[in-house]
Amino acid sequence: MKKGWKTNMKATGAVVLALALLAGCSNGNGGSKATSGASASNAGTDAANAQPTHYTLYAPAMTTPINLDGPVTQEVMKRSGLNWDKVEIGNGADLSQQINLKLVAGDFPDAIMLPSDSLVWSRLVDEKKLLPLDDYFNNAKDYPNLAAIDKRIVDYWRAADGHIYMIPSAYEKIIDEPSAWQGNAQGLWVQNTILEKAGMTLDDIKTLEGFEKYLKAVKGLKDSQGRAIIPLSLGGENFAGLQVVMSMFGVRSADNGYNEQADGTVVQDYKLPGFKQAFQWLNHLYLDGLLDPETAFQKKDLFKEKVNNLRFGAMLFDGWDNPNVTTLKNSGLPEAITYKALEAKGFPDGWFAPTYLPVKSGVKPAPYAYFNPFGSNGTGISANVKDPDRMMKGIDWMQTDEAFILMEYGTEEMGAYKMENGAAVENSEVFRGPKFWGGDNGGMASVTEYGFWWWKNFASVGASHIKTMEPPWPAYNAMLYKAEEINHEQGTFALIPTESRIKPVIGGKVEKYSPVQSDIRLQYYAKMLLAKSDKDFENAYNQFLNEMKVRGHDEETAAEFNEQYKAYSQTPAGQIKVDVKRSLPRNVYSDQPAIIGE
Amino acid sequence: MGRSTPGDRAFTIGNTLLLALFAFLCAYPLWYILILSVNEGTDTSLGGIYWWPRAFTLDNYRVMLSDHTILGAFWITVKRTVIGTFGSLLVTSMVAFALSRRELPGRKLLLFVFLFVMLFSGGLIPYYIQLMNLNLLNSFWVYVFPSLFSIWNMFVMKTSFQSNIPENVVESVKLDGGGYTRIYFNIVLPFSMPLFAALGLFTAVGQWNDWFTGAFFVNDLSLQPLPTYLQRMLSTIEATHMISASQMATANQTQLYNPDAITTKSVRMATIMITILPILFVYPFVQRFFVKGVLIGSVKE
Repeated sequence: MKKGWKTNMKATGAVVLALALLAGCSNGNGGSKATSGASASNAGTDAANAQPTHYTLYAPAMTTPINLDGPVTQEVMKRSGLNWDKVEIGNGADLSQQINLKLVAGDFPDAIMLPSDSLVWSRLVDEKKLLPLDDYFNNAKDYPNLAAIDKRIVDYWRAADGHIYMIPSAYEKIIDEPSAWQGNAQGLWVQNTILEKAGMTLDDIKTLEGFEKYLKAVKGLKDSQGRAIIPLSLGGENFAGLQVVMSMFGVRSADNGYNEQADGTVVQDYKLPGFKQAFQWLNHLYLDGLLDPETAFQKKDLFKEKVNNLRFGAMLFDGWDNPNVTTLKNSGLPEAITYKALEAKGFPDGWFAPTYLPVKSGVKPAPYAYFNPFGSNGTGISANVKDPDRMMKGIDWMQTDEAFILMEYGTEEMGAYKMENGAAVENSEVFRGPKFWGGDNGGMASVTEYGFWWWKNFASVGASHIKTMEPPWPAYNAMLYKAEEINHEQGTFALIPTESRIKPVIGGKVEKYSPVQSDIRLQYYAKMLLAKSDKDFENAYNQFLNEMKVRGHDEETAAEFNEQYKAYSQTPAGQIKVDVKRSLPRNVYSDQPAIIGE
Repeated sequence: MGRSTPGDRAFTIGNTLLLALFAFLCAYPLWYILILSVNEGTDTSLGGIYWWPRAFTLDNYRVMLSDHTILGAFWITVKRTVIGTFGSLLVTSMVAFALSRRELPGRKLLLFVFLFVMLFSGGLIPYYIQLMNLNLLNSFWVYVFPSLFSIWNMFVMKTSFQSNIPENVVESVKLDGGGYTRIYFNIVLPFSMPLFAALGLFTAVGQWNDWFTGAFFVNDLSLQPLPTYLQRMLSTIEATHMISASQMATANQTQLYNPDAITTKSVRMATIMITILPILFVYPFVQRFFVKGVLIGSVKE
């Protein structure tokens, strides 16, 4: 009896479960509505537009949701006249994969935000999903702010068919007068204490010979814990600092390593003599115990552990992972100490400073620190959007300084800034408080909740020409700025080159074989760097060339790229010239707030 | 019970040491992740932490748990795990039982079809289109229906039913007038509890850990499960660090939580702990099934 009861219960349970599952069938869309806390009843309407707009936006590269009822978001919608019913964000996975699924589903949004270098733009243009926007950039009467965007920027974003399909964001408002800080801190960084111990100065290491002498002097030195100092590192994983080394030998190795030749064609970096010389140099450093061998295979965590423990005498790397914040803390100095104050006090032991790159004699260093004034994101408008003029009118407003300040700081009533003499003066207490970037619930949670910062990705100018009262930079950031200044001075800073602007043909040889070539590079870079003798090096180098030819199909990829390069060079985008007349400095070396952006 | 010989004792000691070492090798990575998750991120980047946290903090957890949507995500995960696991065991075992009966017409063809689709998948886009046509996109049931039938588990179950359920037991039920439904519920289910426990655990862990379905097939944030939420938060934290770096251009220190505590690595460690702890608690409850014999007290020949 008891067993029968149990059996019945099991059978009943199974039936109930089956019914529950069936019930799900009839509720296939249960609970699914608009994403991201979207509200269809946005109250904000532009006074000039009696009828609120109802647009949808897709931002697959963003993982931070946005609350459409947030006060800053509401204000942005009100002033722009663009009401967003739904903003869908991405999932952090591959962009192409996400967008392919979106296209398959057929529910393409009214506007899409993508990184400006995404390959997906070409796909969307090819599939005629986007609206050509050329007329808006030429209509100064109705769209003055869009028409005011430098024509070189517009040309830069023209698709292969000659039309422009995206509105750039975070571009330089005056392209020949960019910000003096573009985030390029790559180069040679040297530890002051070790330099002193080696009995040398920064001037002594400006040549390759002087630099090697320094590395040899460092070999054998011990730190305070008795550990051997490693003379040189190439940064984090995957040979992060290699492009700096290549520059010392006159070779450009970024972005598939194409280098323009005198005849207007491009060749791969490894076809140039400087490439082999650079690796021979690195191999000799390794054989002499002057280079961290783990640089060939380490993960970034391990590199950072060594950096923060001051294990290196010098680093040829991106600059950003230098240990100066940790050094300040370990020295009992306030993190926010200004450069001026620290200089007066004396730099602490273990301080890393950028310096000039030692270059092989007779060689002009190749650029590696690039400046991109064309914008980091773009917004495309659906070919099927209702009332595109109204959408573009809103986007036109978003190019104004007023819009930028609203998106950066919120409304003036929120207290994060006030306008004084035409400049936005930040109130740090509020701006770093819980409703903006700080507090327990700070950061991105506040971005979602209130809606500042987020909308700048949709459409905005860059910050360079927004007049702002800027507090002085902390000393450790000043060193990054200094590195960029050095890159300017030594000629390693340049406008993003044509070779880097060309997007591979979808389904072409470059797209197909680039991942294979990257794998071959990493594998053989390690072999060349760690070769046991010159003979081993020659073998590894020849094998590398052979692998690139056979497995990497480099002749085919070079032919295709050259063809594209030639065609691109004849387009307006390929002929853009930027003559930087002046750059707008930041408040880096003083110890008082100063107005920037003018 | 005689006294153990020196050889026995040596074996016991050696065995214990070996198993203890093995247990340590299994447990230590988890311990390592735990201590890094409660240590300040910047301090962790100095290295040298092996046994205990050096600069204790719970901020890594606070960052991940601060968003109120996590409770909804947790509930979605629990629901999908429970319904998905029981549903999958029920449906899969029913199919497996049917296919384990040699008298089933077309059995070989069906087995071939299942084997074929197990080995060759249609790819993501056809699958997406299928879900779209079934109206399962952006629905809770996308977590349940597609995983109701697992071909791999079906083959395991079928093999187990064929080799472990004695044919004469089945025949005796038939002689008593029982049909296949009764055989399934009275014989197959009770006899296969250890098998169900093992496969159920794997299914449950798979359901618990699956972030992909939530990320690609559900864009309503309120329907996304815990792993998708955590994955999104990780991306957001990384983005925050990048913004902090760019915000540094405005010169102020970004007082985001405790900036020393939070690094991408330390948050990732906290995420791993948040993800695995709840499902880890399930193990002790199903472990007892693993040690039971399959055919305890079934039939005496």
